[in-house]
Amino acid sequence: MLAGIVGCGVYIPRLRIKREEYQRVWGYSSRWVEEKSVADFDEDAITMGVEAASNALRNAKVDSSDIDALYFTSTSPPYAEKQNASTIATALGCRSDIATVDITSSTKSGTSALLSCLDFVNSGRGKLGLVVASDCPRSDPMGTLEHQLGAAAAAMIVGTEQVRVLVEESYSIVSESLGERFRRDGEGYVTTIDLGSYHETVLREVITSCVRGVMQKLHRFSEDYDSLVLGGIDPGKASEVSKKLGFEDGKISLGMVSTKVGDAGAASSLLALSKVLESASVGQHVICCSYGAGAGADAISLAAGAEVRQVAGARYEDYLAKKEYIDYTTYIKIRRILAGR
Amino acid sequence: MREVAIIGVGQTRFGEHVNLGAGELFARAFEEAIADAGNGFDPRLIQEAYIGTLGVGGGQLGNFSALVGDATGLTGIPITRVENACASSGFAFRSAFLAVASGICEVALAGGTEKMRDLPPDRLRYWLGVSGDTEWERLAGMTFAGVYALMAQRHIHQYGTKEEQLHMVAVKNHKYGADNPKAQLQRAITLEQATKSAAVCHPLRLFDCCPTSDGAAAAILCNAAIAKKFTESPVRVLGTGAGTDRLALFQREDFTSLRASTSAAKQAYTMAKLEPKDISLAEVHDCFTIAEIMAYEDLGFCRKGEGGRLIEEGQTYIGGRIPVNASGGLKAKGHPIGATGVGQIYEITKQLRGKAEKSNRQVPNAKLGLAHNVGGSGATAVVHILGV
Amino acid sequence: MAYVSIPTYSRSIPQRYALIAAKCKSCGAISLPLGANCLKCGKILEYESQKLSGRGKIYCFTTISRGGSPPEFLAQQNLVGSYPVAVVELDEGPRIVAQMTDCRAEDLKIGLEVESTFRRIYDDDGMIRYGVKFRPVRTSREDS
Repeated sequence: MLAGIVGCGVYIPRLRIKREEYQRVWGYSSRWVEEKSVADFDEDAITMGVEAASNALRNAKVDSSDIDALYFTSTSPPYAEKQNASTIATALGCRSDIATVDITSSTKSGTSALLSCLDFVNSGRGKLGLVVASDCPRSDPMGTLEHQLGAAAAAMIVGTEQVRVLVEESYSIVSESLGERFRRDGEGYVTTIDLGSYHETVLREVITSCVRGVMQKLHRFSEDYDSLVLGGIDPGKASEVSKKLGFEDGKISLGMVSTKVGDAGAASSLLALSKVLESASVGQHVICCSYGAGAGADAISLAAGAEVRQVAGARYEDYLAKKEYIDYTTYIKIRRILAGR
Repeated sequence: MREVAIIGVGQTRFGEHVNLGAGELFARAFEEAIADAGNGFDPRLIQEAYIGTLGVGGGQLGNFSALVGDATGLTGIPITRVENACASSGFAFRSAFLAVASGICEVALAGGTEKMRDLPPDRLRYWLGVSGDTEWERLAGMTFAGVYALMAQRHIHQYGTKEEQLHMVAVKNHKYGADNPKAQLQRAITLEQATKSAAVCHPLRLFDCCPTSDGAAAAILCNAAIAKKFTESPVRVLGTGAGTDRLALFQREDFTSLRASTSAAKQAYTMAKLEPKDISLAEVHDCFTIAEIMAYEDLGFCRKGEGGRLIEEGQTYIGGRIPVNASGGLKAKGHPIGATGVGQIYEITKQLRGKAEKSNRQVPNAKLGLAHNVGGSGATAVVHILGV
Repeated sequence: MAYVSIPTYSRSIPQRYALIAAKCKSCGAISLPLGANCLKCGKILEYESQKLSGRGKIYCFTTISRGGSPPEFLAQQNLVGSYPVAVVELDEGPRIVAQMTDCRAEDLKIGLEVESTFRRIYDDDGMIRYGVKFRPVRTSREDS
C-alpha cells in the first residue's frame, strides 16, 4: 500500500466525572473506568470531530483546502439522516468538490473509516483524505453500560506523500453475535442484554483471530511488535486477550484509553492509536485492532517511519490533563437525560 | 419654517392595564390631551396624526393607523404609524413637528401606544429582541440587557465609572417614580436593595433594568401663531434633532457613547440656539441605568467619562445642576415601547407649565426642557427641546 | 418575530462555521460578518474570501443570567445557568460577538487572548444551528 498516515490529532472534552460519583449515587460503578470525559452541553460528535480534525491539520501542516475526502465515523452522530461529514467539512473550510462519507453503527467503525479512506487515496481518487472519528454514546442511566460511556475524538490525515506512519497490512473479521451492544433505529440509548461470559468469549475469539490474521499475512509474530492497540475495551479483557496472543501487559498499556476517558465508541481505536503514535519512535511496529459487538473487528499493522508531529498543548496528554470535574447532577443535566433529550 | 407649539398633552398611567388594548389605551391618552388643550379644542381640527408603536405581539402589525383612527374617531385624516423601536413616538413627535413647521398643516397629533403585558414570557422575549441585531448579537445569546451590559463594562473600564453609580441612577428614578401617580413602579428603593438585587447581565442587576409596560401618550401640536386660541400656556418646540448609528453594538467604534444621541442633541441645540447649560430639566432614555449615565455625557451635561460622578454628586436630582428624569424615567415610570417618547414630552410640558403631579417633583423655574428618546441599543435617537 | 430562517442562517454559514471573512476589493478592509457594504469604505461589498485564524482578544464581556437570554437560549440557560458572552477583537481587525465556552466567568478579563471553537449554538426548525464560540487560548500561537 502506498497511502499511509501523514498526521493525527485528538480531542478530549474538558469535563470529567469520577467513578466515585457513580458509586455515591448508584452504589456501584464500572470496575475499570476511574473517570471519564463528558461532552459539554454545546458539544457533540460533530463539534468534537472538528476540534480533532483541526489539530490533525495543524500537526501535519496540511491546509483544509488540500483535503480531497472526509470520512466521518461515530455511533452517536447528531443526525441519523443528513450527512454529518458535510458539516465537519464546511466547518474546516474544505473545498466543495470533495467526497464526504459517514460511517456509523459500530464501535469498530473507526478502523473501518481509516481503511476506507486509505482505499480512496490508494485508488487514485484523491491525494489527501481526512478521517474523523468522534463519539459520545448515551445509554440508560439505570442500565449497566452508562457508567463506562465517555466522549472523545481523533482524526487522521492519510496520503501518499510525507507519510510518517506506514500502513502495512489489514485483516477484517465479521461476527454476527447478538445482544452484546446495540441500538435500534429511533432509539437514543445504546443497550446490552448483559450476557457476560458469552460476550466475553466472543470478543476474545474475534480479536484473537483478527490480530493473528494480520500477523500471519505478514509472516510475523507478537515479538515483532512494540505495541498492540486495543482502544476502548475493558482493560481486564484486553489483558486476557493480549496474553493469549503473546503480548505482555507492557505492550498494551499505552494503547488503552478507557480508564481515564471511558468508552468513546467508534473514536476509541483511533484515539488510542494516536496516543501510541505520538510517542512511537522510528522503526516501531504497531497493531491497532478495533472491536464492534455484532460487527467484528479490523486489525491494522503499522510501522512508524518518521516522528508524528504534535503541537504543544494539543497532545493526548495535554487534553487528559486539562480537566474540570462535575458532579452527577450536572452530568445528567448536561447529557439532557433530565430533559428527555 | 414656522414656529410650533404644544397645546395639549395626555398620558395613561404606565404599567398594567389588563382590560385595555393598544387602541383603547391610546383613546384615553388622546382624550386627556384634547381636554388639556382647553378652550373647547375640537378634535376635528387635527389634520395629520403620527403614532409610534413597535407592535409588540404582532396583533395589528399592518395598518395600525387604521386602528388608531377607529379608536379616536380620527378616521379620514392622514395617519402614519412611525416605528423606530423604543424611539418610535419620539420620531412620531418629530414628524408631527415637521408637518406643522413646514406648513403642510395647522394642527397635528403625535402619540404612541404599546401593549406588552399580555404576552406569555416566551413570546415577549421574542418581541424584545426584534429591534436588536438579530442575526449576530441575539444569536450570540444576548438581549438588550446584555448589549447595555457590554457598554457598562467598557464605560467602567475606560472611565473608572463605579457599579454603585449605576445603582444610584435607579435609586434617584425610583424616588421620583414614587411620587408620580402615572408611574408603573411607585416605590422608592435603597442603594443597598439595588446593589444586592439579582444579577441580570453583569454588571447590570434587576434594578438597573426598566420594566415592561402597557401605556399610551398623546400630544397636540399646532402652528405657534394660533396656539393661544386653545391654551393659556402653550409650550414651544424650540429644537428637534435625530440620528442613527450601526444596528449592532459590536460594529460601532465606541461602546461608551451613543453617536445617534450626540448627533441628535447637537442638531436640537443648534436649532434652538441653546447650550446644555441652558436646560432646566431633561427626560432621558434610561432603559438601563448605564444609558442614563451615557446620556448625561452625550447630551453635554458633563464631560465624557464624568457621568458617574454627576449622579454620585447628586447633580441630576431636583435642586442639582440638571434635574434628570423627575418623572421616574423609564426605570420607574415605565417603558411601553411605542409610547415612551411622547410620554417624555408629556412630562416636560407639565413641568414647564408648573403642573407636575405632586409638587415635590416640580422642578422650580423650569423654562427649558430636553427630551431624549433612543431606539434599541442606540441605532436611532431623537432629541427635542421645549421651552416657555 | 425575530426568527432567523434557514435560508438567512445558511447564507452566513461560511462565516458562522469557519470565520470566512470578506476582504474588500476596493480598500482591503476585512469584514465579518458580511454586510451589504464594506465596513470601512462604504462601497458595495465586492470581496475576496479570507479564512480568519480565529485568534483574538476580549474587548468586553458580560454574563447572561436569568432574565437576560433570548428565547432561543432559554433551554441553555435552564441547563447551565449563566453563560458568558464577549465581543472579541480578532487579530485580523474585525470585532465579533459570540458566547464564551470552556471557561468560567471569573477567568475572563478584558484583553484576554482567546481562540475560536466550533460548537452547537441552538436548535430551530428541527435543525442544529452550529457556529463558533470562543475560549481562552490553549495552544501557543507559534505552532498554528
